[in-house]
Amino acid sequence: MSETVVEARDVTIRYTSKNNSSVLAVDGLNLSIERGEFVTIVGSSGCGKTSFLYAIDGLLPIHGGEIRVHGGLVNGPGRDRAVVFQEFALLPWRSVLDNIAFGLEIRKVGKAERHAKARELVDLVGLNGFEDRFPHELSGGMRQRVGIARALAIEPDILLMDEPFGALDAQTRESMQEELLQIWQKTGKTVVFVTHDIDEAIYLADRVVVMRARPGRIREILPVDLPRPRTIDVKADPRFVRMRQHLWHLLHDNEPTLAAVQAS
Amino acid sequence: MSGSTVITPTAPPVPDQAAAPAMGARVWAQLGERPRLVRTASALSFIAAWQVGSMTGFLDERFYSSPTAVAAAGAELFTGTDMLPHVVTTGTELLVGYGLGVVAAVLVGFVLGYYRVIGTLADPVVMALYVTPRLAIYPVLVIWFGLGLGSKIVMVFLGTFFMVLINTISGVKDVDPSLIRAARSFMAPRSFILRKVMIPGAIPSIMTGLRQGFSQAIIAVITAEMFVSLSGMGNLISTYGQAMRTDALLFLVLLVSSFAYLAIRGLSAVERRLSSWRPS
Repeated sequence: MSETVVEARDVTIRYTSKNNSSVLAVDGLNLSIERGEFVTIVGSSGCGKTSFLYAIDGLLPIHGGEIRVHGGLVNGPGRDRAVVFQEFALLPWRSVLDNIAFGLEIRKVGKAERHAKARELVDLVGLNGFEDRFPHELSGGMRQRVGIARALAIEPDILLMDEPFGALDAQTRESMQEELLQIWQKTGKTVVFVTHDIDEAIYLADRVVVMRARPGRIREILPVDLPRPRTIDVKADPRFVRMRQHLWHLLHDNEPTLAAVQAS
Repeated sequence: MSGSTVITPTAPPVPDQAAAPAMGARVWAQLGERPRLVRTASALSFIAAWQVGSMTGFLDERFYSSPTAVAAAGAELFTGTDMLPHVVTTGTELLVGYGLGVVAAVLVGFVLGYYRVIGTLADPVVMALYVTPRLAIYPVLVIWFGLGLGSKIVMVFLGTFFMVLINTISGVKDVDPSLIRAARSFMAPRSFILRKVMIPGAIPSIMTGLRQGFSQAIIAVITAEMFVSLSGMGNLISTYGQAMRTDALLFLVLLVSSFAYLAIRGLSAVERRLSSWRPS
């Protein structure tokens, strides 16, 4: 039984550039996402993938088409969605625990209750012993664990992740990917995950949405039929390697080749 | 150069030269690690030189006074009843002007920092008033607000206001937009964002304004009182200056500076406490 939880139809997003001209960030985008699915969106910078993610959350208005979540039109942030930000976006003057409880505090959950919930999530993301630390005392990987815990604390159906591991070093990134898959398997959330890292996109996803830039459009949607649960070893699977090769060419073949650059 | 490291067994580091630098260099290095001792020594030798200078007649005591004379004047001022009303006057002007200045500047600063358009509209006016030498408009303030407390309170208010205002505006503007975005994503109402994101985010900058505003306030109250006033510490300093009472004048200056110094140290301590979450 599949149930569509996110439905984007003909979505157009514009923004005003520095020289005051209107730029199409996303143009005529169609996508539906099923309950419990892990969808990654990959593309070079400027392809509108983050804009689209923010639009699903309702942080960014769309200028054409429609986005429905659970059948309802998105016209602002909602209880059923939570974002994990690339730059963590933790309140630097709050402890780990109070950062995790941030969304619950906004929902007027009492202190004892929200701290209890936050402690559960501390367990889930493996931050035990760091509850009273401040963000600047944590490593990048730990800060993003707080970011993930904060998003999960409000019990959203859909987790929207904007290059969450983009600021981390390669090693931390791989272990965070593995942990994210475990958390996803445990919680059964629908995840929309934006990245520019091809390996990450394939490794995590049920489907990889490939976007191209100027204007941002979907170029291809690639189903990833690798078995789950996946470990890091899956990256050596011939199917994985073939997909990576394919995506690499998709993302790079609209760039001018070296020969073309030299000829011009 | 071959690029490989050559270890010469016959040339170990010479230990007695490395471990025992010249006596002078050693003392110098040790002093470098004890800045408090060096500062105290500096202050004491200045006072001693001043005292010796005036005792030997090298410094004319009428013009330069001496540490003992300043101390005696201080004792005289403290035991007498002359100083108290002046302290009360200046204290009142400072407290009222500074308090009103801080409250007004923080409120206006939040509006100008939060609403971009209003902030941009107000910017040239704020900047023009900020750089205006306020003492230049003081004669007009005396005409408008009188010779007494009123004109000084306004001077203190202005000095405080612009310092705190500029720091509050930049504090509000510099609140990380990603924090506001995160709060919005969690469906935070505006009032929540203001209370739990904007205000805490702007506090370190506001505290800097409070500290800088206080030094402006002190300067404003003393100069205004020295210029035109009926009473106050500046008035007293000016009176003693005209009477060539260098000893009393210097004592009063010292008193005002010490007070300002301690107050600013206190504000700095609060500032550090409230900014402890900032990565240094």
